[in-house]
Amino acid sequence: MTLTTLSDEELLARADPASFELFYRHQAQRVLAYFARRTHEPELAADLTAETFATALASRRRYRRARGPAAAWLFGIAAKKLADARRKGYAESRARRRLGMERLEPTDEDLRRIEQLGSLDVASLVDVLPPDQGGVVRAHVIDELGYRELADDLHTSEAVVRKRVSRGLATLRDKIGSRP
Amino acid sequence: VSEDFVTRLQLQLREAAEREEQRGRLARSVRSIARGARPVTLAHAAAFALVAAVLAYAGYLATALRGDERPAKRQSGVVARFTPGEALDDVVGGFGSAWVSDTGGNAVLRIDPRTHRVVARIRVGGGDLGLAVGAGSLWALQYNASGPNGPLLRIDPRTNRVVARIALTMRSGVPVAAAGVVASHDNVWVIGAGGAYRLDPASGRFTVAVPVRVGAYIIDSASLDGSALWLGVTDGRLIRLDPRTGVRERVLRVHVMPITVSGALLAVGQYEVRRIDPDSGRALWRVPVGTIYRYNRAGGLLWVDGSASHGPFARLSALDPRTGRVVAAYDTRDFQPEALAAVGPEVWVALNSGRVIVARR
Repeated sequence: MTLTTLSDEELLARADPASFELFYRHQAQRVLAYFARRTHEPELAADLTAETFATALASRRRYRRARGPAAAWLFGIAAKKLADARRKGYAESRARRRLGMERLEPTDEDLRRIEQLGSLDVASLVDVLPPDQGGVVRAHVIDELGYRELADDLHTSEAVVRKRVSRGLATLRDKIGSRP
Repeated sequence: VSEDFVTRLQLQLREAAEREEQRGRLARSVRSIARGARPVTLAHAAAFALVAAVLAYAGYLATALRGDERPAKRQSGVVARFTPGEALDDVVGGFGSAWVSDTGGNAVLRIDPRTHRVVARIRVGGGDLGLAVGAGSLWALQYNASGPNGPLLRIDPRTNRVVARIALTMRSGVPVAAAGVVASHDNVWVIGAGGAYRLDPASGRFTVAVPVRVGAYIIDSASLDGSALWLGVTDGRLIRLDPRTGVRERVLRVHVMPITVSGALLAVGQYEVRRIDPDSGRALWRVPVGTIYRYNRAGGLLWVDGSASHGPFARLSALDPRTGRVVAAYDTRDFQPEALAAVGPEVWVALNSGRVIVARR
């Protein structure tokens, strides 16, 4: 089996550097977009992204598949980093320092692109969806909750949640596509 | 999207992952020796001798990475390293002791600086703590991940007990948004992103509020001594306040974080330290010290952790505040500090791994 056929959960469970690198490639843009949307500060988003992955690298042995998808675990770390940054007014660098990683200075071009990631106002688009779709899309896409968690919360099946999210996203794709 | 940043971060993470992997191999090698692995035939003896030599060196390195519980007998340099807690966040010296916040153990530890033994373990609840010593007490600001910070705890050094939990509000009920606490002989200030607030130690009330217009910027640093409270703002301003009244006395444009050491106003940037003329804001000298993560004054010197230019381990440098000359530099063989502080004539460094490193010039 080559690494590219492994799931994120399998990649995270392996200890070798190449597996973590692939996991990073799968998730980096999502994490960057997550921070860009929430902070509206590209430089802070870049710092938080780096700190989140450094924390994930340092603590990946604590990840347990039984507790949920790898992405949910990663975004749990991201949410904590965001809360810390809001509390302190800046992005922590504890994990990067522990790993001997210097702060990466984003270029102007980096900042411009990160800003673009954050400018897509998904939240306002979600508001136009029917409530049953809007709620699950918001929870799954913006708040990063997994299908199983949502199904438990809504006392319904995972299949129903998947269907609602899928329909909601299809509607959103149409709306984004119809923008000038 | 943003491939440059993402790719550079990928390379950084790859290097870090490879270093982590090497450290894991090293630790496993040392553990196998500790379990008593032996050569079973004479034919293995020569190979074993070579392996033993390599592993002895590996053991030395692993000890450096793991931390050595024995205080060293050296008189200068890194003189001791030990592990009093689970995850240390801050350290201060005062009342003949070192005080360390142990986030992992939800406690403030009081440590005897001669024996390195924990003499009191003060339970404070969960979360990180910022510590300061002044006005006859130890002050601990509780950081909360899911809401406003606080309360501010007052710890009596005679009883090692929390004697007050001070709510972060002005008398008017207006909340005090706190990000840190600083204290001197008779002043205690809580610093927030948009202002500074003086606590009257006698009444336990906040009596002075100094809002600082920061717009999109924040106050990111503060230094307090008997004569001035300096606030560093990320828009480049360095604001001097009277520490008793909060009256604004001076505003400089410096773009770095302030600290006063033996009467000299120093400014700590990301890569260098400058001495600043407090009247004009002019730099009197500049000294590059690698990438600076933490700094503090101790024994009349400025101590900085300028790690990155020397690899992943922390390197402590001590600067003479008058001349900028680096009078001492020590490799700690450990990862970068969370905080460093003067404890008597020594510098104590608190690490997230739960270890403390003690250095002496």
